[in-house]
Amino acid sequence: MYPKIKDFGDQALLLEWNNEISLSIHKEIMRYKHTIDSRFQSIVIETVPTYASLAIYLNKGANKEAFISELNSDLLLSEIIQKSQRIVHIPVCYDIEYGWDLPEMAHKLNIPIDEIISRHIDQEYPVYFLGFLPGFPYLGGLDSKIAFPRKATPRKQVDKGSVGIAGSQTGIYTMDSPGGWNIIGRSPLDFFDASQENPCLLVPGDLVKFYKISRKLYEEIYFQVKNQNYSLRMEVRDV
Amino acid sequence: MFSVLQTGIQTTYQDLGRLGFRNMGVPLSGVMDRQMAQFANTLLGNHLNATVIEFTLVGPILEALETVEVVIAGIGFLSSVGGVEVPLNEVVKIEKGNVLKIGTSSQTMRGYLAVKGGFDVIEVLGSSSYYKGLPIPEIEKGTTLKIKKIKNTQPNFHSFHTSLYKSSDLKVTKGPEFELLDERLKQELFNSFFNINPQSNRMATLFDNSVSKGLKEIITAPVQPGTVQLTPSGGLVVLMRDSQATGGYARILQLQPESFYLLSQKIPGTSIGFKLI
Repeated sequence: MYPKIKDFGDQALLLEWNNEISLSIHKEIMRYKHTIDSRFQSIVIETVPTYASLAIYLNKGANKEAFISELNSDLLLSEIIQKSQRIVHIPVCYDIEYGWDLPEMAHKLNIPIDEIISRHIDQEYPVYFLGFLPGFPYLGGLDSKIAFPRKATPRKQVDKGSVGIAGSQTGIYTMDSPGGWNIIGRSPLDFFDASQENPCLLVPGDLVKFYKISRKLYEEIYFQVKNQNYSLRMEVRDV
Repeated sequence: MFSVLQTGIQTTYQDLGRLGFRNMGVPLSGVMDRQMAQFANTLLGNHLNATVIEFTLVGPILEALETVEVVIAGIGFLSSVGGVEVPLNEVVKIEKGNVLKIGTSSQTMRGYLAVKGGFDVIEVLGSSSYYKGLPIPEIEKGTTLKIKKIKNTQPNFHSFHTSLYKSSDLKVTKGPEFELLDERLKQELFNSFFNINPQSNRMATLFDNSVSKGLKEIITAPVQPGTVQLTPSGGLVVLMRDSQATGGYARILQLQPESFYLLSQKIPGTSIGFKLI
């Protein structure tokens, strides 16, 4: 599965795979990303993965043609990158107080609110990439029964921790922001902290599993996080 | 040090930006007009990445709490120290206690204040550039602006092409979705003027007019400063320094670096055209 290589302005390249959201493409992209990040540090500033493409930003003066011919060689194919995977459990309070759009979704999808929640909780979601806001995880694998289009007019403010649905994706607002995702609940966790060595709670390659908490437990966890004595529920699985 | 008496508009700390964190969804940020900001730093012998203050249409009013050397880089911003007019784009010495007043410009959008040594601002993820959501301080009335102490600086007489800003042609290359445009749409795109909309900001430049039809949204994919997007309703959006690293609109063109600086200086109400190179 070789990607198509395109110029992306003066100092960048774009690798494009089949234009679809799939786990096999995601794995290929991450393999390319890790290989390029580790092997070409001297000429690559950074790489940005998305669902079906990888942007490669090059240093000024980098030899683009030589780099492209390296990308086209089989060198890259030998590397195996991910041996294990984190499954991160994210607590979410799905009360209407936080799940602003649940009533409308229930009405338009003709599915009871409780079933929307249980369908959201049932899946394990791969983190495809981070974008939109610092640390914002794009999660694929949403149950197609609860897929729901973005709001026609974005809200001026969505609160930090809000869990949303946009089309067949789900995601978490890592900070207060305007936004058009349908909000179904809120997590009390901190998903981005620039002062940490690893600022993002979730990274591409992780699996996310949501679990339902009460308003009371939301508050308890919220203050544990604030006082830095919350320990994240997660496990590591071989892949 | 300076004390801020008036902030001006969208006055922020900026350096050359935050590299290496776009895969975490953290924008590049950094000065919009790199040519102008680097010019100011080199005149003072500063490092190219020294932190400067970027202001928009109206500059700040600052009281010098110590004697300092500065460069006000810009075109048309009427500026004074202690009520006496001072030149732009030259080193200006401000004695302790004097007030620097940077006025408005009707010619370009943004100006820069550089100080010998650079402003002393904390770094977050390797940069002092302001971006909401990161703990870089905002510049507010009453804020004290600290200055880094440096020895033995070596001023450079770097060139500064003021002629760049007279043009209204933005040089572009094809973006990843360019081939989805039909011939008529391409004709329209390269044979029209687009008027800068006043809602434009450090995230995106928007236009008053649109083209006759748009393109469908794409699966979220990488974007960068200078990416020209076409929305489903035919609107054009040019992404600027604070843009997100990924986006869902068709990427039809990509600005050349110099044209990016030019666009960042265009005042709302003026117009530009795209020229494929």
